[in-house]
Amino acid sequence: MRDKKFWLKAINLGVLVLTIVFFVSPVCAAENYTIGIVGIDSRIKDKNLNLGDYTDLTQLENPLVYAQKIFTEILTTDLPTIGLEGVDKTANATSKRIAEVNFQMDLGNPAEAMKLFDAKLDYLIYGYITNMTVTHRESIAGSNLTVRIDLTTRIIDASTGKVVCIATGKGESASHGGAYRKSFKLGGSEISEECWHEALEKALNQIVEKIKKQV
Amino acid sequence: MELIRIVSLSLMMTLIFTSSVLAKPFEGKTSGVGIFVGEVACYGEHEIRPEFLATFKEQLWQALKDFESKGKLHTVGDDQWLGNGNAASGFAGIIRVNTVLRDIHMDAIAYGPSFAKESANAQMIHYAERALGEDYFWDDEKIAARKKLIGKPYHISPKMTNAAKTVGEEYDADYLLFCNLVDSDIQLKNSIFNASTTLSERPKQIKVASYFYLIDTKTGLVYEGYNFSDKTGQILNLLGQYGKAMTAQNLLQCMFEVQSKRIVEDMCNAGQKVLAKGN
Repeated sequence: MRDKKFWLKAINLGVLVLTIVFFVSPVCAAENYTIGIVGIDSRIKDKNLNLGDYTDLTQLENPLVYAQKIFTEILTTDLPTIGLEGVDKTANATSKRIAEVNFQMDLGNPAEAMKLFDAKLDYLIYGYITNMTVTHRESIAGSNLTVRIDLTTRIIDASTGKVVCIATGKGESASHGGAYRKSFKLGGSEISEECWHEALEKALNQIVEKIKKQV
Repeated sequence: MELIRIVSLSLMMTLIFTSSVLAKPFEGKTSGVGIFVGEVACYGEHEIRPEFLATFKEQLWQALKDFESKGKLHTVGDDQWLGNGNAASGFAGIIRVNTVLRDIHMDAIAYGPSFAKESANAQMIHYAERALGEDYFWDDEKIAARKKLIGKPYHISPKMTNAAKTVGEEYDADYLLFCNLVDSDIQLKNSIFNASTTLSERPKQIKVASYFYLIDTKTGLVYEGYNFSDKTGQILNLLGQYGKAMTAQNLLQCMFEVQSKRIVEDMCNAGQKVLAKGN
């Protein structure tokens, strides 16, 4: 014959197991929110820094398309750590697409904006290059080039069309003169792939950190 | 006794896990005072290009969020100033704008002690003349008396005070914030670069000025804050950082960033204190 204490312990254990089954498992299995990575555009209209007016020197693709790739790469890697699964939704005509998304959001039609994307998404993220400086210095040690860029990203709730997060970041990279494997020319300065990549990466890392704080 | 303990334990676990399941990303904090940003616009003589205004809005958001993380404030109704009429797309002129918020902003500017008709755009001048009467701006005594009120709280029209209260109640906001980027010029050697042109020469002189209006939704009092940056000091710092190759556009962006931080600091430090004191 089992005593009262035994039965109480059994009930205790049973309740705990049930709690775990019903409440812990949904948390573990909770699916990530999906975020569509729309792309990146440039707001710089300055004739010397217009990314559309680049000169291809050694087979580096359009710097804006390159920036686009880095943007997608970093966000798809880093956003899942904060519960946002990045879905690559970039297309060739990114700037037009961003303009269209903005336009539909302005009109208050998030549903119309979402028609541009084939999957059902919870959020959309897109960014702009808002500022850029290219500094060229000559010294005894050789030439030195510094690229600084400012990036900004907006996250939009796809169901309501509201801007839920904005994050800005700055990136800087310096490189010494020499023969670059891949580079492009912008406003009289030759920018290497490494330099461009590093500046973008630093700015995006800052952005991801700021998004983490706002989640 | 033990049964009660078990039930309470399971209830607690239920609450904890339910809340974690329901939490959605980007659901803002609610500590500190509630700030509703009504409008960020340019009612100055020179129009600002939409992309500049959009970048300024983003910098202002970032500055507000930095203060939000300190627990001093939280923003409400962000879609009102970032969503509709969003200048980022360049369609701000043709998209519907919240006219109530625009009118509150223009009313705060018109009744503000620093308002100068000479440096306002046509829309603002028409509004001020309608609100205060055309003769008001020819009366030197009234203008002089008005200038003495700089730094002190003042009232806007009763109609707009009620509108501000309604907006505050609707969004649960303690204060409404409006920004007017009134002036942003960079003078080159022989020409003037302003935010509506696309010149890319090296800047020689800069002037960026902005006003912000903080409205207490409970009392209807308004605090007018002013931020001004000119060529001294700051430009030298920025030139040291970016070198001589820095263009006018770069410089303007940097100045806007400084302005956005100052607005939020001034609003939190001076603005709220002045409004709390009252008349």
